Amino acid sequence: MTPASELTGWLFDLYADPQDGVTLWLLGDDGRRHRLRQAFPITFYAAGPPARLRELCRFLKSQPVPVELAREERRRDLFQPSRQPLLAVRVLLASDQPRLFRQVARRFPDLTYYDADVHLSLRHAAVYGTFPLARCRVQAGPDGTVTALEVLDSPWDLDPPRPELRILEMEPDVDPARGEPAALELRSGRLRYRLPLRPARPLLVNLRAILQRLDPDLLLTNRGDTWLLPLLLDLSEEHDLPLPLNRAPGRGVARRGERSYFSYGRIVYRGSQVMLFGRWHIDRANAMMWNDYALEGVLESARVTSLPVQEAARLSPGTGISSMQIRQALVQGVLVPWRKQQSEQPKTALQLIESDQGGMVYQPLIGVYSSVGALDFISMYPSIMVRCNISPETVPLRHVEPSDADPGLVPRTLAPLLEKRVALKHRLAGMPGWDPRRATDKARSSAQKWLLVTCFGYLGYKNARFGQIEAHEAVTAYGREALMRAKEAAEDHGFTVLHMYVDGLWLHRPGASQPADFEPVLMDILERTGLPVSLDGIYKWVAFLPSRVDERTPVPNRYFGAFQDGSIKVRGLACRRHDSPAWVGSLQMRLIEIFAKAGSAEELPDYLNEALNSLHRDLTALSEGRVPLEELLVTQRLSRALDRYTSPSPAARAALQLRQVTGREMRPGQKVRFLFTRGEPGVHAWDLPEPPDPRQIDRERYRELALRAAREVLEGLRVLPPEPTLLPLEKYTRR
Amino acid sequence: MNELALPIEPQLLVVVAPHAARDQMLELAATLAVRGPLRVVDAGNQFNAYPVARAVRRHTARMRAALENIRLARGFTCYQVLAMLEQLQPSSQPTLVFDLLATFYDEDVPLPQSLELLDQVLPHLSALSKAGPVVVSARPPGTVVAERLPLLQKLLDGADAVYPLLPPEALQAARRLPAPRQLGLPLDPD
Amino acid sequence: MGRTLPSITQTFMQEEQAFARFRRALRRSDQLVLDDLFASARSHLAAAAYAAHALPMETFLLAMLLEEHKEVTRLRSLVEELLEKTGKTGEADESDDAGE
Repeated sequence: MTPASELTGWLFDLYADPQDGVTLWLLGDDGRRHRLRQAFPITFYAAGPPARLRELCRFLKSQPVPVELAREERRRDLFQPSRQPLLAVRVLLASDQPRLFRQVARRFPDLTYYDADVHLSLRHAAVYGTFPLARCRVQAGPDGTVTALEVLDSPWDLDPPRPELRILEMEPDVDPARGEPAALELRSGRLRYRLPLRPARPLLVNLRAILQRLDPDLLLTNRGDTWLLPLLLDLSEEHDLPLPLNRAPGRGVARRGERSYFSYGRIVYRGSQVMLFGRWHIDRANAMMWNDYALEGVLESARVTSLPVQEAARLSPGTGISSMQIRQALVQGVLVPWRKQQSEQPKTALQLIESDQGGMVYQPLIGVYSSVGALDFISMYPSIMVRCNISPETVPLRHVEPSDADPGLVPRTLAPLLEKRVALKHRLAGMPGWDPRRATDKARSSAQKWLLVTCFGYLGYKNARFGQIEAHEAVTAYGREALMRAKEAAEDHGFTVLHMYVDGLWLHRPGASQPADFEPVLMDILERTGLPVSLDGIYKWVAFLPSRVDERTPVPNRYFGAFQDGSIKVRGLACRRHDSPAWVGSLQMRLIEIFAKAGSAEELPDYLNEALNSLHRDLTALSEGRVPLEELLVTQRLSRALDRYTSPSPAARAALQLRQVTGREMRPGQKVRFLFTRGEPGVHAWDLPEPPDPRQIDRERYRELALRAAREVLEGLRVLPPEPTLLPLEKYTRR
Repeated sequence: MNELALPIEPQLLVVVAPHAARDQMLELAATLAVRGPLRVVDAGNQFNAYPVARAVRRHTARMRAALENIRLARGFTCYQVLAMLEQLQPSSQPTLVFDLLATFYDEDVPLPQSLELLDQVLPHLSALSKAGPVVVSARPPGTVVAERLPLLQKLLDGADAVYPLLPPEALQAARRLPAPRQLGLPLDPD
Repeated sequence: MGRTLPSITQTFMQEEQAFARFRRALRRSDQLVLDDLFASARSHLAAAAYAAHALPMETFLLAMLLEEHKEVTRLRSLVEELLEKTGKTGEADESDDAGE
């Protein structure tokens, strides 16, 4: 590099380094990968009695780590009524801060700390406006020291320029959970390699050569977090052959262990993780929502959250939105509390009864209907936070209303994301099917949706830095209010409200079949609530089902229907349940697709014969053993540790079987795949080394599941003939 | 023993029972609410107001007024619980703390830190109990966090009186407390 | 953050459960009628939740009454329709009934 050269390119990676301060990797427009260094001191704050702060000062001065101490009074704790004097501790070398802070917190547990455990990427983002793959112009000295850094675009741009990434895909030839892999399969562009796993030495030598030659930006693996990279690292150590998984030389990789934890009321399992420096590693099997939004979605969540790509790929709910709030807080000079101490303001028992409620969930009118419009509030809860300015420092009143007041931290954080999502949704709506941008836009849109969906739960999450019960309650309260106003508007326009579910309404009025028929009521709802609402579609027919337990009882969110454009929507039926075998789900879906050809509810009986024939074909295939075993697989999540089941569920029995045969221990939250078999124990775990005997399959059980799924459709549509014994499948109407 | 005597005197009562004696505590809150104002700190997400309303209604027709007598706040982490108790001013009104140790049993917080925080909590409870009656309910730790039993011991040591809604011998054991594993104390199933 | 109060559906089931002994002592035929009454109240759980009444059972009772009255209204108009078809008047019919 020439003295004080100027570089432009994409910011690729950023991390603390004991020598560099902060290491930046830039994908240069010149096609090269530049390693740069930047001085980046970081500051945290302590508050408390002056005498204790003075003791802290003395302690810090006695430490070998270089720090600068100062008094700070401008920054504000959102949960405190007034500003308080703070001790600002400026740590010159970013990599020193975590350890120093741990020492401080241990010695001075009584002090209150701020900005103490903020991710380096967020600190950098707050100062320079950086984010992963930001376009940057950099002035750097001959040794790569950055003297000036300018970000040229914004995470809110709809069409960010994308660099060409060099991707190396790597996966074992056999899923290690199912068998013993013999080789690694590698792909990059048109290159294909197959490297036998044994003996280890040539594997390591070849892999090293490939990594050096291709110098990939992204290692995209299958089971890389939990199996492949740990294996390669172990082998490399065993044979004393260093493997350049990192682009940055001389660094170990970052590893995190597996764990089970509670999230949103259910137990979640997270496998171990391996992350690299100067290069990304993404494990498709361990990446959150990979199937929904793939690399494009990962990049989008990295851009909008400013979190490194490798972390964005493994994001847990809440972390994304929390990062955005922290970044916004740093920008605004709002203190980020280390431990959240702020708790609920006292309320009376009566107020508790009024406020401790969830979203509005209406019991639907059971039956089949035509002329039904489905209306949705767009990202309802985030919209409410933005429109009603709900944030800890705006202290929500008991009843919030849309407001134009100076927005607080939470609305400021959400508004650009919400705007971007709405803009992208509008663009997608107007985009023809062949447009190549469609797939990427869709992936990005679902990544944004996921961030926005979690933002509401996050507001009420106990550890959320800027969470607050009152804010959480104010959001649901206005959500219910909005649905009430929407119901009143709809009834004023002559509609019957068939169903309401948190942010959606189903409106029925005989003859309402065109978007124009719904236009006035949409406008009216917007006016009365101040929230954007859209027509999701008009149903040719839609059926609302009763409870599976009691047919007199309506249950929310259990329906299926066919839109005018032919698309189908199903909620709460077998084909939507994660534990239904694929065969049952697709059998049910085929039935619905047949009825979807009907133009209205009246025409439904015309398609009964076709549906029954389809069901007959599927059941015949089952009894003749023609259904592939994979399609009969049931997948269930373990809800607790194995020895804590009193009467083991089928999933637990399958997991016990696995433990007995393979010694493999499954953890709560992990999923088990199995088949129903005859006799004891009634299941066959799919991941057992022995394949199941197809004759052992419990066909009667699968037949029952199929008939139950068929009944959901046929009874829901009320097309069953009065004399069930005349049907070719006499059994399915018998309970 | 299934009923809690009505606390009138300034003192610190600790009730130890499975589920932190939730039903008895709710009943107690209702009885007190009929007589006058009281304060509730719900540290275990336990304050189901419906049974309270029903119990109040049995005593008085002025149900709403009685429910207005109860001022409560909920804490979902031990840091919040500490902050809430710090903010409570001493008062002659009764104070009920529901399931005090629930958040201290949370595995996300290392045990030494939980103990340290509880050390900060106890002086506040004792200061409050100089001005008015304070009833604290607690449960034994669940089987998965059995090693957290010292938290319960610490709480019992600071109490003026302990209501043993547990079998008395189990409570005796808890007060002597050699090592959690050797105790006959029934651990909470959940 | 877990909610502190049970959901309206849980509350409803608890209230129904509270009458288990009453139900047990009823004749089988009356048990089914009681079940029907409770089932009819379920259609208004959303309204009961929104009402946020401190004694939810009062709201459930009102919901049962509402469904009962709907049924009465429906049957009344059905009877009136039938009477009109057969050419009789309501008053005459009532006196006939009283005579039987």
